[in-house]
Formats: sequence, C-alpha cells, structure tokens
Amino acid sequence: MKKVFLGAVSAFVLSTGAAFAQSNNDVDIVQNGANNNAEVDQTAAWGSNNETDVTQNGAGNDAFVEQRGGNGDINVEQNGTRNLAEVVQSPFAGDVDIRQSGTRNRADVDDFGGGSGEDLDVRQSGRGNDAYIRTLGGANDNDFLIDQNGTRNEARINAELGASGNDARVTQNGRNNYANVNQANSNNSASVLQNGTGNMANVNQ
Amino acid sequence: MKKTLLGVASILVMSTGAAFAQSNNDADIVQNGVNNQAETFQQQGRGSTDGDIDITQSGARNRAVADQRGGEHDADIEQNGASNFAQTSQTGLDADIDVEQSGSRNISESSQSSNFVDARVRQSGNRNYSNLDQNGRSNSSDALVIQRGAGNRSFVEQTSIGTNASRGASARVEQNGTRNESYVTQYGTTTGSPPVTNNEARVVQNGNANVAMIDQGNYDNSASILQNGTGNTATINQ
Repeated sequence: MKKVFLGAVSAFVLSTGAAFAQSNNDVDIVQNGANNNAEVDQTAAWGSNNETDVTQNGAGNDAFVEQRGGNGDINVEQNGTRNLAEVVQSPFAGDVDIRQSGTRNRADVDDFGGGSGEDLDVRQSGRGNDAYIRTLGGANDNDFLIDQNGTRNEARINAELGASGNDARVTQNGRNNYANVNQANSNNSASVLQNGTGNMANVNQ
Repeated sequence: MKKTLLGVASILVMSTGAAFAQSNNDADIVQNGVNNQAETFQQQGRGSTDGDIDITQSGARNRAVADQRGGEHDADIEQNGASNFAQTSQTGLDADIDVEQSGSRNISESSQSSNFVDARVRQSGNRNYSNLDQNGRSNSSDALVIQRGAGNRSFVEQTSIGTNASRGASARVEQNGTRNESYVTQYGTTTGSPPVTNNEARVVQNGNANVAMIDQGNYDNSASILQNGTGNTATINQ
C-alpha cells in the first residue's frame, strides 16, 4: 500500500472487493475553500443503509458520489460558484438531496436500474444553475423534484426507459428559466410551476 | 578507527536470554548530539509485561529503535532535530507507543500487532513521514497522528486477520500546513461474523493542496474528512 502512494499527489484506491455486502457505513466530508475535490465510492458490494454527506463551501468544488445498494442516502450541499455535484445510484439505492447556492452550479443525478420509492431532489438558488435528473431502466414510483430560484436556470428530468408511476415536479422562480420533463410509459405525473418572465416549460409524455 | 567514531555514540540495551517472563523493566536513554543510535529490546520470555522504554535524542540524524514483545508495554521516543528516525514495534496486548519528533525530514515507523493498543505520533516541521500499522485482530486499537508543517505524509493501516476481527479501531489524523497527505486504510480478511465492524476514521486538514484518503471495508464504519483550504482532495471508499 504505502509504496504505491509514495510521491503521489492525488490517488484513488479501489474498493476492497469484499464478497459480502457492506452496510451501515457513514461518510462525512466537509471542505471549506476553493477548487476542492470530494469523491465517495460506496459500491464495494451491494450493502444497505449507507449514508453520505458532503458539504463544500467555496468556488470550483467538485463532489462525486457513487452508491450501490438499498436505503442509502446521499446529501450534497455546495455553496459558492462553479460547483459540480454528480451522484450515481445503482439498483435499490435510496434518497438523494442536492442543495446548491451561488452561480453556475451544476447537479447531475443518474439513477440506474430500477429503484422505487426514492426521492431525488435538487434545490438550487442563484444564477445560471443547471440540474439534471435522469433514470435509466425500470425506475418506478419515485418522486423527482427540481426547485430553482434565480435567473437563467435550467431543469431537466428524464425518466423514459421502463419508468412508470413516477412523479416529476419542477418549480422555478425568476427569469429566463427553462424546464424540460420527459416521461415514458404509464401512470406518470409531471408538474411545472414557473413564476417570472421569459420562462419556458416543455413536458413530453 | 577511534577517529571515525568521534561524535558517534551508540547504545544498545538488550534484556538477554531469559526463558521466563520478565516484567517491570525500564530502559531510559538520553542522547544529545548528532549521529546517535539507541536500540532497545524488551522481548525475551513469554508473558513479559509492563516494560517501559524512554528514548530522548536531541540533534540531527539520530536513530531510535524500540522493540517490545509481551503485554502492557510503553515506548516513548522523543527526537528533536532533523533527519531523525524512530522505529517502534510491539506485539503484545494493551501496548502504547508515543513518538514525538520536531524538525524536518523525520521518519517514524510504528507497528503494533495485538488488541487494545494505542499509538500516538506527533511531528512538527516539513517533509516528515509517519507510517503506523496496527495489525492483528486490532480490536479497540487507537491511532492518532498529528503533523504540522508542509509536505508531511501519514499512513495509517489498521487491518485484521482472524475470527471476529477488527472491531472498534479508531484512526485520527490531523495535518496543518500545505501539501500534506493522509492515507487511512481499515480492512480485514477474516472468517468472523460480522467481520470488521465499527471502525472510525477521522481526518482534519488545514491548508492547501492536501490529499486525504480513507478506505474502509464491511459494516458499520464511519469516515469523515474535514478540509479547510484550497485545492484539496478527499476520497473515501467503502
């Protein structure tokens, strides 16, 4: 181990490859300052009840969280400019809550492979923010929420592949905002609420 | 021959050849100057307990070795100056290591291979290096590393081998300065059930361009990283 990292500036260790599930693990990262990078990998086996909290205050911070298993929670909070939050969930994962304040922040949530009963929420305040929630494959009975306050914000929710019974909501307060919701299959609901001028909403079902 | 040894002192303390248990031994070494060496061994006899080793070295390029086998041993090493080297190893229960180094380019290598052990390493100055291994079953092991300065590196590895291994290991690392690196690994290869639980790793870094990594396996683990500064990297794998 140690020899591998001698002299290394930044490194990434592969997960331990345990043959059993890894559960009830907690991660807490707080970074204050600029250009910081946080990376969390909870995928070593399909554990459950894992929880990750990442808080970043400053500019140009990146947070990347990947989680696999059930009932896991991911919370990311970023305050500042040009921050990026990227969350990837695999089957049976849990709730995601991303909160960003500032300008030109971006939040991406990718949900793979058929979770249900999940809440995937992105809340952004400021200007030029971008939020994208996407499900790929069999996500049913989930709630998606994007809430944006400010100008020139963009919200996209895409739940098309084998997704049914999902509830997508977009709320935007401000000017020149854009909302796009794409849903396929049955029993889905989409609601977009926009308060302000020059906003555009687009829903495809 | 005599001239080459000027300024060089070497002290070797061994408790030799006893087949029975040895207890309550104390070794106390103070060396002032450069290029000094102190080697201490408290290791003969099964069931030796309560040994104490104290080594204090002031100056540069000193070397201290403390090797203890048996339970409830203490090893304290203090080195002031640059390019010092401290090596401590303990194989018994309830053993304590305390290493303090001030200066630059100091190296501390510590290993403990039993349960209920404590290790504390404090280094101030630049480009210091600490490697701390707590192996064995590692039940209730505590590791604390504090480094102040720039370009310091800390490695803490708490691993477990055996049945019901590695419960409740705790690692704390605090680094103040720039370009410091901290790596904490807590994992095990064990046949117990549940294996490797309740480990805790906490890293605090104040400064810029620091790197923190925590790697944990299995159940009920907790990892936290706090970084204040710019250009820092935090990575946690569970």
